[in-house]
Amino acid sequence: MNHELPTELSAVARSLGTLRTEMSKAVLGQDEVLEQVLVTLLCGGHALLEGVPGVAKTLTIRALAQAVSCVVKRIQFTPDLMPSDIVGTNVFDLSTNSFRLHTGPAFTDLLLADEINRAPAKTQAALLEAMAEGHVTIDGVRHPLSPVFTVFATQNPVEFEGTYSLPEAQQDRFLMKVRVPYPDAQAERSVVEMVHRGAPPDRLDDGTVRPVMTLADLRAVRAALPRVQAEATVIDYLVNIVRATRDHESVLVGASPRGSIFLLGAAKARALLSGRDFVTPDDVVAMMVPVLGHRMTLTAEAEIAGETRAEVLRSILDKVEVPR
Amino acid sequence: MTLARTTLHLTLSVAAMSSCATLANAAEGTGRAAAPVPAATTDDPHQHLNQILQRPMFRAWRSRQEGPDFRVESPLSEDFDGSWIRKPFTWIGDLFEWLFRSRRNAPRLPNLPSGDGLSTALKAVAWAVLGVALLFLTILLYRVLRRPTATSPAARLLSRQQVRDAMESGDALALGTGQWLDEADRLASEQDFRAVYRALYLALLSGLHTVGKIEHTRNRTNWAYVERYRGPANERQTFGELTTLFDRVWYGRKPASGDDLDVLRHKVALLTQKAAGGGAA
Repeated sequence: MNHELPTELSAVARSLGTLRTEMSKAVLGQDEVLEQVLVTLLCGGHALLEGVPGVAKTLTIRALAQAVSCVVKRIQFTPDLMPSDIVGTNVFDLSTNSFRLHTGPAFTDLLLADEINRAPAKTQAALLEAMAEGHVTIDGVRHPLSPVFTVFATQNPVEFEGTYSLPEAQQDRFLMKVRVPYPDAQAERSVVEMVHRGAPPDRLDDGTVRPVMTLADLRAVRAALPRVQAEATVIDYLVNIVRATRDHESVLVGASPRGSIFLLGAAKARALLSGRDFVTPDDVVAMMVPVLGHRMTLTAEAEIAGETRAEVLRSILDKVEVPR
Repeated sequence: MTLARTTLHLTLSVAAMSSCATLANAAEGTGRAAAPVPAATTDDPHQHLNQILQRPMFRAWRSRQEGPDFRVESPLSEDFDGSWIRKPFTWIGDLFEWLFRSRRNAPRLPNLPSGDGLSTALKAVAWAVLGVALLFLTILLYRVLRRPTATSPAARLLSRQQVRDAMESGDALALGTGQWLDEADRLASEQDFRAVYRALYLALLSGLHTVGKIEHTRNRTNWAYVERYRGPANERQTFGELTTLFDRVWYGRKPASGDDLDVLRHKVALLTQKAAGGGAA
């Protein structure tokens, strides 16, 4: 029985495995979060990491930035942040007597938008064009961004004070919403012990995480994604799940066709991350909640009853037959 | 189909009993002269109702009520007693009452001596019909009870079309493990190796479900079965290996050859046996 991947895909799978290993040196006990972050990177999408303060959201993205040798910039969102602070602005240069473009932090390969929901909607929306189109417009002039431009935003749950929830249009631009849970007891104990032994709390400054991927590698990895196959029956399964979100009694607005496209992309990336060049229904199920959850609006009754999007999606899964 | 037939038989039996009850009522009628109907001349509805209830058709019914002071509270109650749901039971009750009533309590009609004879004859006919109906019901009940309850695929022969439909649907429980294995052999003879892998995997799911190691539903993914496998770690590992193999051939369309089929079939059979407790784990 030949279990070998094609040579190019095999190299891609290996480098992804190495990247994952490096990141897991800094981020303990968050395997699912790491997988979802890497899937986002592989797909060329953007991810929104949500969790309470102190569960390693920012650390995860910083570890990724350290493992991938590319330009990384960070914006700390605050209530007084302006759109021009993100994309940049034209500044009048007295020496040349002309306007000169002063680029903002959006001109980068990886952008870490820390605590994105601490800024008002107008400022959050400044990222919309950049995330959707891959370019920004300043004073009527379009400026292209990096070909691998990726936004990793973090936010605290909206129940916390001093936050502005992201508008639906803004949320829809994110490939997935990664929920960062508390680590399990064993992982938490390991972190505490490491700090107790004198290791820096974020485990990044001491060179624990080595750069293992270049920008060229990242582009090669992304180019390999279309080579991952998806059977027609698996695509049908995926589409049936997405369509079922529109008919569920607890859902006011279901996922759009963009949700189907993103879910297939994420499933293909997960397959590649697992060392396969084909998608299985398990890939679809694993990516379903992070990709579709934030694309659905629940009815008021469901919200009052305390239903979550994840629960609704799982109940949908119980009604869709797996192709076999 | 069987349920419908049984229902039909039961309906016929009740109908037969109802016929007996009708005969009984007819017999009652033969021994009774028609009494003059009291005219309803009052405007009081209760009095009016009681006058109506004095009519011969209601006398037998009144005699069954509790004492002579019985009053109908509402005309609706009569409608309810005579509702179509209760009618067959009322008829059967009347029939038994009539059949078992002692001659001392039977209505005596000295002015119609032939009435008793006719009544006796009708009683005999009613007994006969009742006996036949009871015998029929007993036979029917016996046949239903002695029918084998196991209607699993393994317990019946399936047509070629049924097997084809099962294969088309991909429902592991549509066939028994043995039938899936037979189908795998047939597909191997046709050199359709991809389908052979599928039949073997479905045989595995069917077998593991039968012995209670997994709970098969059409909406569960392959690895969800592996994660929820109720058995020792080494069995789960084998199950995982076989699942990986199936995924590669079925979803990945990797080339499937006949070289490994014997090994694969042996693994499937061995895991199913182990799971059933028939082998060393």
